[in-house]
Amino acid sequence: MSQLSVKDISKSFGALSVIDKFDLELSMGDRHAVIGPNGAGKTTLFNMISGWIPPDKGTIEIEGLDITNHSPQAVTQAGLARSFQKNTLFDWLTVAESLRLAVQASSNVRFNFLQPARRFGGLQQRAHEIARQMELEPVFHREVRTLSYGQKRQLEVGMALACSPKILLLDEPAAGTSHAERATLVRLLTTLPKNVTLLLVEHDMDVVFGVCSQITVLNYGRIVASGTPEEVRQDPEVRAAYLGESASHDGEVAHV
Amino acid sequence: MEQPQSDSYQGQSGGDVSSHDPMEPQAAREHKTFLLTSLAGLLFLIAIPFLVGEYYVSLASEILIFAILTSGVNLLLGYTGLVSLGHAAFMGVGAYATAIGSSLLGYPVWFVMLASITVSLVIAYGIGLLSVRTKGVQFLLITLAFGQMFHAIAEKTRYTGGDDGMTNIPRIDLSLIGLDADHDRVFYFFVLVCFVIALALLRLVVDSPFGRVLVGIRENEKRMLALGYSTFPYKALAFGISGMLAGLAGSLWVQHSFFVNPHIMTWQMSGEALLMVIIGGSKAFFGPLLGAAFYVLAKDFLSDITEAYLMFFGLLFVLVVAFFHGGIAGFIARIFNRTGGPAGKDDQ
Amino acid sequence: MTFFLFNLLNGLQLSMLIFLMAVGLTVIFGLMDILNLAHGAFYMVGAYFGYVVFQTTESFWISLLIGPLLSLALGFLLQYYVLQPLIDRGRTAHLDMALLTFGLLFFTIGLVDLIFFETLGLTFMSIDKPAGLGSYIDIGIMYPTYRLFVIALGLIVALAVWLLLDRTVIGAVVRAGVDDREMVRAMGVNIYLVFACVFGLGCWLAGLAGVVAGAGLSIDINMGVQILIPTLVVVVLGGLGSVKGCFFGALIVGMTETLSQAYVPALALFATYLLLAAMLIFRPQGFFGRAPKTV
Repeated sequence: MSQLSVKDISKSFGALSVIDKFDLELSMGDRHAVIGPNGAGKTTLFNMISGWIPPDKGTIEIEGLDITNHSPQAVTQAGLARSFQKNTLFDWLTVAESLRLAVQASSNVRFNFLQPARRFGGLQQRAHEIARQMELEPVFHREVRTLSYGQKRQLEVGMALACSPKILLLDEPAAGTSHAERATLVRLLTTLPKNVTLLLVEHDMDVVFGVCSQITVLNYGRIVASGTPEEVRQDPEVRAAYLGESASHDGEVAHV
Repeated sequence: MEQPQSDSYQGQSGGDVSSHDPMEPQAAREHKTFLLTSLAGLLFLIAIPFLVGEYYVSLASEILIFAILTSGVNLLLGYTGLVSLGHAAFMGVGAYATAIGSSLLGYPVWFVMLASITVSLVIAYGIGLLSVRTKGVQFLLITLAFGQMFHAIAEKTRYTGGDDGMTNIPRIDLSLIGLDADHDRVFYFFVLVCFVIALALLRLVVDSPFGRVLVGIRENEKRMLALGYSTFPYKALAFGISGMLAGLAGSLWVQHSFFVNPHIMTWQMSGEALLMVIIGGSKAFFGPLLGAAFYVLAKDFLSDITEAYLMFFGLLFVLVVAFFHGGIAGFIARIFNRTGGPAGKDDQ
Repeated sequence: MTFFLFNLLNGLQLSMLIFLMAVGLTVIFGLMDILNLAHGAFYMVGAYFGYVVFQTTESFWISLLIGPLLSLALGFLLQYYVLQPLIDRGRTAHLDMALLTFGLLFFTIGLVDLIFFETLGLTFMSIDKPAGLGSYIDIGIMYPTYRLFVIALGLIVALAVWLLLDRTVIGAVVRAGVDDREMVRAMGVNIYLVFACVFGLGCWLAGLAGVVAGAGLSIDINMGVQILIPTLVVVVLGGLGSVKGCFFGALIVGMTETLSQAYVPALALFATYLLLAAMLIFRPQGFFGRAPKTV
């Protein structure tokens, strides 16, 4: 049985069809990227899978459990955590506090309201572990707003990872990063635990080819091609629709 | 689009890292500071009746009662990031419940107080369930609406004297331990005990995993949802606890002043509670206490000179919101840090 | 029947007064994301300054013309020199703005109290209605002429606001700004000046309502707070930022208040709040507001 199964979902805003009959099957440990030009519907797709926007039709299942119209929090509790393209962090909390909140979400102490939080050392251990994994140990006790942009992107991934998800959705983890920061991110993403399934949306081809073994190409809400990086690279339709544009995208990224 | 931040902070990371000790040094330090401050503060509060005259003891009771109210308001404002303009309603619920129970129905005051607190909790939780679906400006407006409804009920109800309210409300009977609460010094100590219990409870709440969740909601609710928190029940419960403290404050208030009228539930009253919290400092646990103290004392001082004290508070409030987000507590912390206390973070 | 007509007209009058207040508030919110709780203060300022002008000139019309100008000037200055710089410093999110203007309302009440009550000793004040509008007119029932004047004024202002927003360049900028603030900023318009003008105009309307109320009702220290609450209700009912919603919201609130007072006095104090609470629970974005973005 596949771990994440997206069947025939569609979404339109008014007359504009953003996602049209999208299918995706992921098995445990997959490394899958969804790529496509701006406006291809990638973010909408992510928002539907993670529960932020209900699809017009179609179903989404995690290990056979239908989560189609579930709230974002229910989807996360079902084992699918996401990161955001634009940093969505706790600016005034420390990295430690942020990660502990993330870890606490999936523990049963979260509704405890009469015992000091610092008594729960297990949470703190786990938060520290995530920080080490995301190479945020040196800034563990610093407030998030004082981190560098690259570190914030690492934390963005770390927050999702701290939910102990079965499936991790990363929304352009490298958005806006410098070359050096991107290299760090790719390294971190390749060392994620093998039993976590990874689905990412990304503009940057270094990240996609560096991390993923399966690629789905989206254009105007439709799947244009799907397969290994090599197959996708060879696909004539993809070359026309997307890779031809990638040079200009790289240019864009370099400007940021 | 978020710009990559400058790396100006990079250099200072070395100092506060304890890479093999996951316990947060800062949290531990803060906890210690908190305990010491509380102890010192408590000793001072105990000493007050021995230091000043009857009139100021009465003012001190007033301060503590308002501090219970404002600390409750701050659970929403400072910790959860929700601005309620209707908390006077819950103070009113506590006040009227106490007045009705003791004065009209003749139950003993201690029992009536417990009942009042429970009633405030239940009503506030119910209103919370309806209100916390909204946020920001809408939340402010819906709490205002509920607050006004309660005010209208109090004004309309003949049974409780309508607009005139009720008088001759008894204070708690302390004859079992040989004391008479009608003496302001005795009543002050009773209020102090309630205050300590209330703030200890509040401290437990904000320090708990539940309290951390509230802070997360304040910082970024979207992320909290993405982490898998259903933020709704947390906010509703916070609203309930906050309303319960307001109810306790109201219950003490009627005993303190021996009367109650609908004025206690006006939205100006809710506004004044916000005023106290902001001026005292919404980011600090004892900020609301400082705000209440400042407010009561300054009002007492100013109203000798002019009735237009609202003008000064309004202006002060504007200045604090605009320029000194930390309020009085932030100001004190800054002075403390400058004179060689633990290296603090700048409030910018 | 005549009782009903009488109340209907009274309701309409109240609606128009509230509309004058609410339209400024809602446009300011839509455009600048500022919930201006000090709006009631500008209403008060209009009434009190109108009263001063009236005392000097003994003319309702001059006071109607000049009175609101102080609100206009203060509103413009407040936005341009105080609120906008604070927003630019990035410390003040929109809840802070609500709190800040709330403090300003308290400040104004205190200041007015100090000047008019404590210093001048004035307690009951009102502006005399002008000669032609002081009596009753027969329109099937005997109805106060002044109230008809208020209704007419409200309708004229509603039309003028609609024309201004719909047919003029500044209106286009404002509408675009309500839809998409970033875009207007990108258009290279001196957006701060537009903001301050709109803020000033909103306050001018509040001041106008103040003078009008000063002649119809009375002028007192609580007037700003009293009108602010129904105004806020209207703004929420109509949907924050929607002028159309504001107009219908004002009609609903004005009618509800007046008719409940006339027919179900027991409900009168609650009716509006029930309406507001129900609205926020079932349709928080208001009748004409857009659904909030989830992501």
